[in-house]
Amino acid sequence: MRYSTPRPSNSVRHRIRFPVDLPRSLRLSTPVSSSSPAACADLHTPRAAFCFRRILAGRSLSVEVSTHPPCVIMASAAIYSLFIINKSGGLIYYKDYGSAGRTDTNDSLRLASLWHSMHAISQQLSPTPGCEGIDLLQAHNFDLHCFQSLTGTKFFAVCETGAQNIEVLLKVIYELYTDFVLKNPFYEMEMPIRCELFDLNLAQVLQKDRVALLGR
Amino acid sequence: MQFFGGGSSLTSVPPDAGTPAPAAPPGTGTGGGPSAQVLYVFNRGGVCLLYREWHRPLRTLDPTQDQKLMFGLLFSLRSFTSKIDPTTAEKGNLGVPLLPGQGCSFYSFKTNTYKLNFLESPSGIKLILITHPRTGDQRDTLKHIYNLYVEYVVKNPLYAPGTPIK
Repeated sequence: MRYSTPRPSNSVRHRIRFPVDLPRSLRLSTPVSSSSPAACADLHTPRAAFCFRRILAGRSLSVEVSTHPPCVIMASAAIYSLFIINKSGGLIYYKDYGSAGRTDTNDSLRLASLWHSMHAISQQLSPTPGCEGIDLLQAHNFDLHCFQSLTGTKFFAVCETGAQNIEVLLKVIYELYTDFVLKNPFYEMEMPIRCELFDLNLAQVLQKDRVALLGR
Repeated sequence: MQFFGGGSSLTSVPPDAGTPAPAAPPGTGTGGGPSAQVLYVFNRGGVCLLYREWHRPLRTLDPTQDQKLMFGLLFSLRSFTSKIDPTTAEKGNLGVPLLPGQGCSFYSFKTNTYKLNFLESPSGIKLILITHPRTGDQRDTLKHIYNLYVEYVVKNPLYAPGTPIK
């Protein structure tokens, strides 16, 4: 997971060493001696990527890493914090973007599992069938937007009141999660997310979001 | 937060003005409008004072269990919102009962099938109005229902506090 600090461009030259986060696609800029067709393959299946990386292991190669393509999102308010919880309610990712007061690790874990149960109870209380749980909670000081994937992973963001298009942002974050977390062969399902490329791309997306906000 | 809108607005409400006591079911007339589906009124102790439903095809639990679950959800969501509130640094512990008006509260949440609107008065009366998910802000409606409650339930001399509204 250690390679030189990436520049924030869309296509960055990295020196990849083993193990690394799984990029979206790899293109070798210097031909390998055993130039296999896999060398140019789009690394969308973790297994292929893993095999490919085993070929690479031991050699130090200069490869081109294409990070996630820029996404056009126009969310218009600041996010205070982002949580990702797995299907059993465990917190697998938490990031704070400047809320007042510290939420320590224990409290964030408790909040995550509490949200998981609130989400489940709200489905029980629905007056009409087909309820999929809370997607927006409006409090006096903030809005909470929640997005649940089909597999039960929940993404929720605490934002300013009246924030627009946060659902879109959460879906973009979900896309990043599928690309950089689920396709990472070293990621164990339902475990806390420690993927450098995910962090990097998430920071980029939120930065873009913030720039869009300032430009208004 | 201003709960007491004053009696002047109430006297101008025609449907309930002629019936001093007991309360006409709120929500049927001016209260919730056509999109109101369910209304709950709880007191501070979690006793359900009033339950009305207009449109509820799905019933998973029996009424008492349903009311308990609803009160529990509100209790936990209240402590959740006051704990996660990003604008105040001083937050209490999670799960400790909060006084009415203490900490950051919420006024609505939305799912794909319904929207729950919530109002808690300073005396701990909780009003819950469930509407269609695409209805707008119902805070004024809830304040209006609360005013009706004050006017026709609290001021009724025959009403014993803490008992279901009849």
